[in-house]
Amino acid sequence: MKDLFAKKVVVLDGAMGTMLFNNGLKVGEKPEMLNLTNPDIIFNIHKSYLDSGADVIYTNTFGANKIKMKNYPYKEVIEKGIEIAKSAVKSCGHGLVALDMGSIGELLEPLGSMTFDSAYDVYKEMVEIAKDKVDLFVVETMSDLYELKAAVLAIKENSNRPIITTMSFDESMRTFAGCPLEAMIATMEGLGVDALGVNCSLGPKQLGNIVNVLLKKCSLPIVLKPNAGLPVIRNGVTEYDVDEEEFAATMAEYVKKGVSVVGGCCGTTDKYIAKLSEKIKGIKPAKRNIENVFCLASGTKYLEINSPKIIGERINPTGKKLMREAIANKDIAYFENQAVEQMQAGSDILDINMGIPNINEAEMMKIAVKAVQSVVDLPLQIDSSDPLAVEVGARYANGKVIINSVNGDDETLNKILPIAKKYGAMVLGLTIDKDGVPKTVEKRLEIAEKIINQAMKIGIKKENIIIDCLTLTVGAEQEQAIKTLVAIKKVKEKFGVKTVLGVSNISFGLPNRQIVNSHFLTMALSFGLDLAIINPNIAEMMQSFKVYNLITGTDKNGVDYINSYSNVVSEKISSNNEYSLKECIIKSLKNKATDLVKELLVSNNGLDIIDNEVIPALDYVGDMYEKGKLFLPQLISSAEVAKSVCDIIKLTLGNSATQNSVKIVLATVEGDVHDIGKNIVKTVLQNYGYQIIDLGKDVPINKVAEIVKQEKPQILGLSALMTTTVKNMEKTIACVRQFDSDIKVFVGGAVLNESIAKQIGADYYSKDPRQMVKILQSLNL
Amino acid sequence: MAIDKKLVKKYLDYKGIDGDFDLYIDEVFLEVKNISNPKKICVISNCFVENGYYKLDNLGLVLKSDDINKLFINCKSIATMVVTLGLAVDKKIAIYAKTDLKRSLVMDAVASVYVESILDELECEVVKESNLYKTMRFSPGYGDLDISIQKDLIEITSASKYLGINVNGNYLMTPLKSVTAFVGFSDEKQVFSNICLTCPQKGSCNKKCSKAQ
Repeated sequence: MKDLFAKKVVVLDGAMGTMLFNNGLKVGEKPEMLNLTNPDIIFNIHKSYLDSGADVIYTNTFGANKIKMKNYPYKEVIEKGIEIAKSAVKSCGHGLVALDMGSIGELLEPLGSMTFDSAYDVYKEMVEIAKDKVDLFVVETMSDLYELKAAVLAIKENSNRPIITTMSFDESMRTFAGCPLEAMIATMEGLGVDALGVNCSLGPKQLGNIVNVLLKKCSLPIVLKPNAGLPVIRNGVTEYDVDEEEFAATMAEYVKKGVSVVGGCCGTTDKYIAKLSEKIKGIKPAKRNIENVFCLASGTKYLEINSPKIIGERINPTGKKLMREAIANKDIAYFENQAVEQMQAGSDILDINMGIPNINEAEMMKIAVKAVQSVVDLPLQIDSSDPLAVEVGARYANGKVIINSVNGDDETLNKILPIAKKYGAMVLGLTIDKDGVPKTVEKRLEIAEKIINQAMKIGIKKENIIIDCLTLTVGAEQEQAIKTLVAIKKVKEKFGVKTVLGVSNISFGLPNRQIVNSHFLTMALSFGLDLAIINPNIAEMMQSFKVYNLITGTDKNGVDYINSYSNVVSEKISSNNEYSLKECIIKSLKNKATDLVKELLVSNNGLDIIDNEVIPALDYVGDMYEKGKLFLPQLISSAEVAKSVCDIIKLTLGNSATQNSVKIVLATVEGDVHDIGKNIVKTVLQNYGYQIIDLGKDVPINKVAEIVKQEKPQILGLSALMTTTVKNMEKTIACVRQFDSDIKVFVGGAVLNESIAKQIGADYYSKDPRQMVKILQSLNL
Repeated sequence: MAIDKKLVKKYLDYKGIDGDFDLYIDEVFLEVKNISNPKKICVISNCFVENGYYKLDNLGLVLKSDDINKLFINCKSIATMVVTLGLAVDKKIAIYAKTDLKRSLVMDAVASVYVESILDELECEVVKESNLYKTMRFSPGYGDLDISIQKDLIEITSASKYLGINVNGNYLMTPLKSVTAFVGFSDEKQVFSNICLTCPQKGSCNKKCSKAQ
């Protein structure tokens, strides 16, 4: 079966929906239900496609999943759909049956609330029904790469049948969810699908650029299943503007260039497929010139490693007290902030390492990967020595990641390489083995060679291998530093792989480490280093990196350099003005405030600064807001400056010292995703020292209950913006009250007021964060 | 296209007079324009009354609303419009909520005004083409038109396929900056019926229909 795509041009079927509408299906009816209510019509459509020359027919099960067909017998629909398709094949004497699966119809996290695991289960259920009955699986019309990954894993882990995946792109070569074409190619090739490409959304003519990219970058058979042109709604009916002749002629041109799996989507019928079969007869797809590129991807970003790149190293507990604390406390906000800060500083990739003793590292890896993905779109590097944590990281990361790391030891190679292969990850190989970091260049090359050979032996492509030649501190073994650099050069020359290096190890034990690190970075780049693992927040490191790119011409016309260093915007404040910290917070002068708090901390206690400067500033701003002299955006600006000040104070006192004993759980209720109000409340309350547990948005009722049971907060704050979700607010309150009658419940949101709050069982209604603070202060908790 | 700053400030409940804040709104609007990918669908249907409610012939959609009956009285046709800014805007607002709360808040308001302005434009085009008198615009959730119609509306207009819109179990659309609306057309000039006065959202609603009051 897997040879199907190697043999010839494969013809897929055309649209199911169009044929059904032509046969009288009414708008609004579930087409999949016809498998049960009118199987003959489906049989005839399959048969007409097979008679027109289709080699593969898709079952009428596109939306037959437990979410989209919640109130329908979707399992029977799938079973019957397969049965009908198989009987059509039998009656025609040729053809293969593909189980057709589309999008689930609900948005996955982080934007939506469906988890990756739930999406996986939805697809798994379909696969389980079909796995012994169909010849192959198809996942089509996809927009979200994460959802597609869940589908592909559900197929691969529960069946051994071939897989075709296609996504729908517009002419900007992105899907609705923002997935770039190349990110799909990189991720799906890695996951080991058998053929991939595009379907729906555009007509064959508009696919020109997309086909060119596929021909160049995709090493698998390319699938094209376009619409019959662009949709035009005439008298409420969607029609398409390309006839079968033009459709087939354009598709035949693509086949000549190397496309080998063709069919039709919306608007195409058996006539289109018949014409297509006729036109491509005898055409041998051209041999393609595929570029083998080193690349990574996130769900919305594609990154080719064709010039030096930065891997941000901050989400790693080694030598970082606050990060260790954050991991121990599952402080998601801390991971998110570190991710954003590094992205803003210029990282191309982010390393994630959760390795501290006595925790469930795999669980933390999952939490951190999800947190980081919710705020940045950079590809990730999963960094762990625990194979379970590595696997979890590779699984829950969207796109194509780096796995950090394997080394020359057979044990790590045997455990980690199969994970890299399964998830299509790039693997980072350290030139170290049981004997430690080698003293010679030759030994480093020897270990690199072993890693590369082992990886390639299990099917990992050379483009998915990067080698770290490792550096020791120049303070202890001075002669070793240059050997690292030479090894970088030799590894690239000898094996044609990319190189990576944790740069700052060079300066352990030396004073003024930045000087050494930044110069060593420049040297390593000159020796050919491709990926530098550094702290991008250190200005000197980024300066070295940007100057290197400027001088070597990698930064064309110096655009990045000029943008980075010519427009340092200063706050609108005269340098002569001497403001107190309180005034800086009131006037939202962030830089001035953070400088000032650092000065104050030299001779003052952090808690005194909070009591004497931060809180009075917040009270003043709150009063002005209440009196209508300041407005919400200004209140938030001051709150955010106060937060930056408190963050600096926390560095000296630790997180817990700045908090009071009142614990507050906040959530935007189930079904509602409007969480801006809740986020504002959170920031303001944190500044006042309250301990906030923020459950996020669209939080299921039982999750709120579970956390309240677990954390025993004194206060629960719920928000809702829609009238439809106030019901869920009421249910949440009732559920929590069942076991905690003392908890004080605050509610807020545009559709609420005092009387609705009382009706739904809340204790307090607060119209804004200021009011909530005042009520909390009056409660004397 | 410029953004209606007055409306943005109304959504933000911002009553200050501040040139810097106006510039800030412009800056945020520029960002919204750069990242959004506006898409729209409009389907014109002949309509007739079936079991006491308007039905759109080619979509098969029934508008179960007495307010619509009053507002769309004597209408021969109804335009169903769907507009979205795309997911990238939602994503940006969510990220700013974690990194720059003020920008998140302002962007949310700016994007709401922007998506409505695209709907305004679409409505103008449709009205121009029709050469008929039009009613005020009416969206699911206004008056007594239950928001649950959103699910069928999105499915029937294929907005999920062409615009990438999904509707969740609470009838909330994603991308969040998506709007659906109906406008009725008739040969006679409409006697303006002010639906806002009887709307259950009256008092808490900050949206467009309050302009008509």
